[in-house]
Amino acid sequence: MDLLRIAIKDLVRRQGRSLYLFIAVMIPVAILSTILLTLDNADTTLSTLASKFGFTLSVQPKNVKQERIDQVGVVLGETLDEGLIEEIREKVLMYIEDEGETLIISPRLYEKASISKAAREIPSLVAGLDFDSERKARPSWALSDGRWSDFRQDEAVAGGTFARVNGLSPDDSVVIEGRTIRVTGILENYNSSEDHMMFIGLDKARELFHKDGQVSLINVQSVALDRNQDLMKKVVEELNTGIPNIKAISPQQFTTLKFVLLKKTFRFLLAIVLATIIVSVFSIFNIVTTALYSRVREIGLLKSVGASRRQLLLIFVYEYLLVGFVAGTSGFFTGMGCTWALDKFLLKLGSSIAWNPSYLVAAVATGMLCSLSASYYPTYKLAGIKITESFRSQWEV
Amino acid sequence: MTATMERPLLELRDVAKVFRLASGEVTAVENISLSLEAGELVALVGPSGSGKTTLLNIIGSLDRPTHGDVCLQGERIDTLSEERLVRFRREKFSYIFQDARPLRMLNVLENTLLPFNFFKPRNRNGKLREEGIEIVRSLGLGHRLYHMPNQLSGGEIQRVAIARALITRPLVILADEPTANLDRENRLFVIKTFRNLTREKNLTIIFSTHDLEMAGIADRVLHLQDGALVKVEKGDCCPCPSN
Repeated sequence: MDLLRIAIKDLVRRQGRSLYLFIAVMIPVAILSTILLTLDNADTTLSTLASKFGFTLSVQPKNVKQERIDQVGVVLGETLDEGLIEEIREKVLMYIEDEGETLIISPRLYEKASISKAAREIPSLVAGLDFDSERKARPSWALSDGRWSDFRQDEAVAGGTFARVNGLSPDDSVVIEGRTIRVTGILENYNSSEDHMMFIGLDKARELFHKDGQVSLINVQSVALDRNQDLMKKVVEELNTGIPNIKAISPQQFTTLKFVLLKKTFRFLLAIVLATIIVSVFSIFNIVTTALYSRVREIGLLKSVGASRRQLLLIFVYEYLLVGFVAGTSGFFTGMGCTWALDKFLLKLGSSIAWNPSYLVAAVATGMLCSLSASYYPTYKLAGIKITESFRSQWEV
Repeated sequence: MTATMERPLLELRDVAKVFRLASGEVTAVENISLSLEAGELVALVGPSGSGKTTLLNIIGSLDRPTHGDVCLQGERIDTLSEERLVRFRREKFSYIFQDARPLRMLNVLENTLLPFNFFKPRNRNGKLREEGIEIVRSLGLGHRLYHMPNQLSGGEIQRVAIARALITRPLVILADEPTANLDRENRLFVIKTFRNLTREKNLTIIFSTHDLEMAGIADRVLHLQDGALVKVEKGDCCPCPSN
């Protein structure tokens, strides 16, 4: 038997007090874990949202009137010359180092059109796009049904909502501007404007709508800019001032703002957690002090059989570290449960709780630190008691 | 002709202990000088407050005298640093207290072997457990080896304390009123065990008691009054009680 085993046996024997201590440590750890995991959850949700916007920034004609912007935020009518694509690439590359394949520029052409399906006219929004660059920029894009189209052929993919509302399914044929187009796949819903569209190849759209060399929108995707909002703002400014008659905007800015606000809120919550931890440390201090004074005779006995102050201290440190470890681990899993419940019944963020070992480590470390910091001083003091004094003590439980 | 002076095992020279309290100074032990030999059983008797426990604490290096010297095997122990005292006590002394409840989370054998959680004795590799079992058995607790303290009677608990004191093979055992809470049968068992240990193992045992009958079994009985040693009687002054 060694000191650790003495510590474990003592903890087991003093179940009541150990339980108090366990609860005092577990509660702040559970709160801390809940905050961290919910923040993580919100981060994931916002990242998903951001990816739904798809692009770092978009370039559209400068003087688009409000009525020219569709209710789902798509520019209609006004167009840009496709020659701008290279100019935009050059400007962006002035601010970011060689990004190689990660810089994606993808033009789109939007048109309102009436689509015929089985003698029924369906008012719709058609997006012509460069399918290769779109799919590179949107790896999360997925079909709920069917297959991807060959955009060089007369094939189309329908947005999820559009297909559901109009009863479209793969292999249906529709007529757009007199051309029969086969629907090959249905996009999953992303709660974005794209759920309401039909997608065909960019060249096909230009051909059908007689917009040769024109685009409605030029989307830019850059990982470097996504990561650095300040840099992105500079690029947007450079594009707006350097290229006439265009308007560069960053669709992600809104999401970023929400994210920053959320982070600030959580920082505030973390401050509250810190206060909770401090209060807990004082509670633990009280519990430990009371518990130790009931063990004065035991300390005297241990010293009388040869325990040094350091060894006694070690027994107590083991005890409190063990409690901290168990309470920290339990606190983390309680925090996971609370995060799930919070999301399910209150926040409804929808993201699944990610397993993050670093949070478990943080929770366990917090538990052990709380327990140890609160107990070390009274333990140190009491371990120094004289044997003769310990047997005179009236404290006993 | 050369005279060889044989050194006593324990020697107290002019030892005094004064407690300084808010209400003034209290002299607990007053200028006591005495020598103890190896294998001697010594009883300290006297009324409450006569200084028995304080004297035992000074002899056992649990407390330092305000004045005077305490020597064990010729070495002064009252001036040792706390760190050295811890090591010294481990090797030389064992203690049995009046309220010597064993640790409640350990069984009888674990309580007996408790000191070895804090130090490993020299030249006694292995077999400590066997030795512990042997000592416990010799004290009549062979059937209680793995029992927890709450399953033991008062007399059995005191025997566990004796077993724990013996396991380290000390030179001196100091027992502060070891029979105070026991019935006569158990009191006799404890003191007779002390008697046998001093004779068979050449141990020196010093115990304090109010019970003159038990004190009578000792080789020497030291009478204390108000901190002063007032009388020293040769042991066996009272007829040795039969069991």
